[in-house]
Amino acid sequence: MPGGARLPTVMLTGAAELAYVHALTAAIRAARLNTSYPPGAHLLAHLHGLSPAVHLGLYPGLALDARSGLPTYREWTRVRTDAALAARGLAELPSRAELEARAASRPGSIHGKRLLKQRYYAALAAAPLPPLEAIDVALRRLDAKAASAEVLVTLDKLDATGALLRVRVELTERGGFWRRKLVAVQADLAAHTEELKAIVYQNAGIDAELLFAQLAARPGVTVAQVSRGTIGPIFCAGVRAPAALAELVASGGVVASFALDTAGVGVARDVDQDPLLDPMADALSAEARATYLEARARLGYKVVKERKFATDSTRVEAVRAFCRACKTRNPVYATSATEREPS
Amino acid sequence: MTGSQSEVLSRKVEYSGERISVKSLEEGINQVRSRQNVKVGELETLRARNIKLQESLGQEIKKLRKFSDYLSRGQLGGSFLSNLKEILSYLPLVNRLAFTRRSVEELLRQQYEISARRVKEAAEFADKLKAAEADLHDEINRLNDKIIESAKNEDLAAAYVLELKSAGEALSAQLAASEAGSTTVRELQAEQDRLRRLLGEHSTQLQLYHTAEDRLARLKENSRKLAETIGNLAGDITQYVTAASEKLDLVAGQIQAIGTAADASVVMLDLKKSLDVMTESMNQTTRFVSETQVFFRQNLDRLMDELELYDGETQKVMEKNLAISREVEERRIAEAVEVALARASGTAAGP
Repeated sequence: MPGGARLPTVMLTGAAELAYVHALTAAIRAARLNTSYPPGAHLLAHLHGLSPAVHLGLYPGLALDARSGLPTYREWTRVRTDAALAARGLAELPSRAELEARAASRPGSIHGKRLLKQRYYAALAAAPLPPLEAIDVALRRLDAKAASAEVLVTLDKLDATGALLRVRVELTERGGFWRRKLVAVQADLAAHTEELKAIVYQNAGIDAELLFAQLAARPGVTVAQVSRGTIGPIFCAGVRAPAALAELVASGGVVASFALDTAGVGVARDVDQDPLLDPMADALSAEARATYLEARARLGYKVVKERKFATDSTRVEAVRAFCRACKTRNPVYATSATEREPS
Repeated sequence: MTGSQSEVLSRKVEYSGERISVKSLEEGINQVRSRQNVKVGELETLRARNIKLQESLGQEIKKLRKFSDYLSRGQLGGSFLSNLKEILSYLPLVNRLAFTRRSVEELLRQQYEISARRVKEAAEFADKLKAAEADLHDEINRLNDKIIESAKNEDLAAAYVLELKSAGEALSAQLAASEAGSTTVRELQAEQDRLRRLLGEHSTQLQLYHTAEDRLARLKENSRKLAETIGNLAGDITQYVTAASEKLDLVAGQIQAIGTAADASVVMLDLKKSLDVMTESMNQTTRFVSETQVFFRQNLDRLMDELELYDGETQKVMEKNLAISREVEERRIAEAVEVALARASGTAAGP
C-alpha cells in the first residue's frame, strides 16, 4: 500500500473457506459470463486449486482482499507457484501407497503431511492452470494500401483493487514510421508493442471511457470500442459492501457481482445501470468536466455501464430489492444448490 | 548322569526373534547400512539442488540490490520515464531498453513470483529434511528394539552356557570316577559329546548376540547423529522460510497498491519499498541456502567417511567371525574324526 499499510484482508478457514469456494464457483457458473469478462473457466481452475478440498489443510486458510472479496494476489500466486512445482514435487515424493503406509500409524507426522502434499500435487498436475493474466492482439483487418491495421486487444489482469478484469479495445492504427506504434504487423499476424501493453496495462484500472479517450488522443489511432468486464466485488462476511448487501451476507453466503463498462462509437445511447459505481466523470472539477464533455462530443462515443449479480435463491429477491432501491435494472441469477453445497 | 544334568541338556532354549547366525547378522547390519546410505544419498541430491538454488538466488539478489541502490542514490530528479529506462532493465525478462515503458507493477509481479517460487522451493527442502529425520528416528526405534532383543538373548545364552559348563564339569567328574570301558563311561561320553555340541552352539549364539548388540548400538549412534544434524538444519530452514514468507506477504500488498498510485514519485517510492522488502526476503532465503552449504561441507562428507569407515570395520568383524566359525567347525570335525579313528582301531584289535 502507499505508505506501507497492509492490504485489508478477510481470512477464511475451515467450513467457511470451503463454503466460499463452492459459492463463488456456483456464482461464476450461474453468471453466464461472455467473452467481455475474464474467462470464467480460468478462474474456476484457480479456485479449484485454492479449495481446502484440494489443498487438504496444507494451508491455514484463504485470505480475501476485503475490497474485492476475491482471493488476494498472494493466494493466486500461491496456487500458481504450487501448480508450477507440482510435477517436480510429485516426482520427488515416494509413491502414494508408500506414503499411506508410513502415514497410517502417525497421520500428524511429516509423512502425513507429505501424503497430503502428494494428493494436492497430483490434483494440481492433473489439471494445468490456464493464465489469469494475459494480453492478446488479434488482427481483424489489414489494409496495406492505407497502411492501417484494425485490431482487437484483450488484456486479462488482476486489478489493483483486487478484482479480476478483462479490458478489450477495438482500434485501428494508421501507418507513420516516424511514430511509436501500438501494433506491430508482420505478414498476417499482429502483435502488441510494449507501448500498447504499457498504456492498456497502466490504465486498466480506470473507466472504459477514459481509456477510450486516452487511446484516441494518440496520433494515427481511431478507437471503435473499449470494454471493461470485471469479476467482483464478491460480497461475503467481512468484505466492504453497501449496507443492504453487507447485512444480507453477514451470517454467511455470497453475493457475486459482475460489471461491464463499455465506451464505443457504435453504442446507441448512454446507459448507467451499475448500482455500485459512480461514473468517474462525476468526480471531475467544473473545468475538467467541461474539457471532458468537449472531448466526448468530439470523439462521438457513448457509455453503457451494466452489472449483474449471482447469489443463492434465498437472497435473490433481496438483491433485486437493493437494485430497485438504487434505481437500476440488473439481472440477478440464482446459483445451483448442488454446486453451492460443500461436499 | 543326574536328573538335573539331563534336564539342562534336553532343555529347549527359546531365544526371542529370529534365530541369529553370522549370515543373518551380516544381512541385518547391511540392511541398516543400506537405509543409512539412502538417507545420505538423499542429502547428496539436496546438496546438488542447494548449489543451483544458491546460484539463482545470488543473481536475484544482485538484480534487486542494483535496482534498489539506483533508487537510493537520489536519482529521482529526472523524468519518471528516463529513470525507469535504466532501472527496469535490471528486472527479470527485461533484456532490452525498449521495454522501458512497461508497467512497474507488472515487472514487480514477475519478480515477486520468482521470489515466491524460491521460498516455496526452500519450504519443500525443509519438508524433505523433516521426512529424512523422521525416517531416521523410525530406524533408531527399530535398532533399539533389536538391541534390547539381542541383550535379552545374550543374557539367556550366557546363563545357559554357564549351566552347560557346570554340567560338563560334573560329567567330567563322573567320568573320572567310572570304570574305564564300561557302558556307563560310554553313556557319559555320549552325553559329554552332546553337551559339547550344545556348548559350541550356544557359545556361538552368545558371541553373536553380544556382537550384534554392540554393533547395532554403534549403528544407532550414527543414525542418531545424522537425525540430530538433519533436524537442526530443518528447524533453521523453517525459521528462514517463515521470515521470508512474511516479507513476501508484505510485498504482495504493496504490489497491488502500486497499481493505484497515479503520482510518479509515489510509484517510485513504493517501488523502492517493495524492492527492499523483497531483497530482505531473498536475503533470508539466501542465508539458509549458504548455511545449508556450510552444513553439507562440514557434516555430510564427514558422515559419509564415518559410515564408510564403519562399513570396513563391520566387514573385518564379519570376516573374523567367519574365520573363527570355520576354525571351530574344522576342530570339531577333526576331533570327531579322531574319535572315530580311535574307535575303529579298538574294534579291529578286539577285546
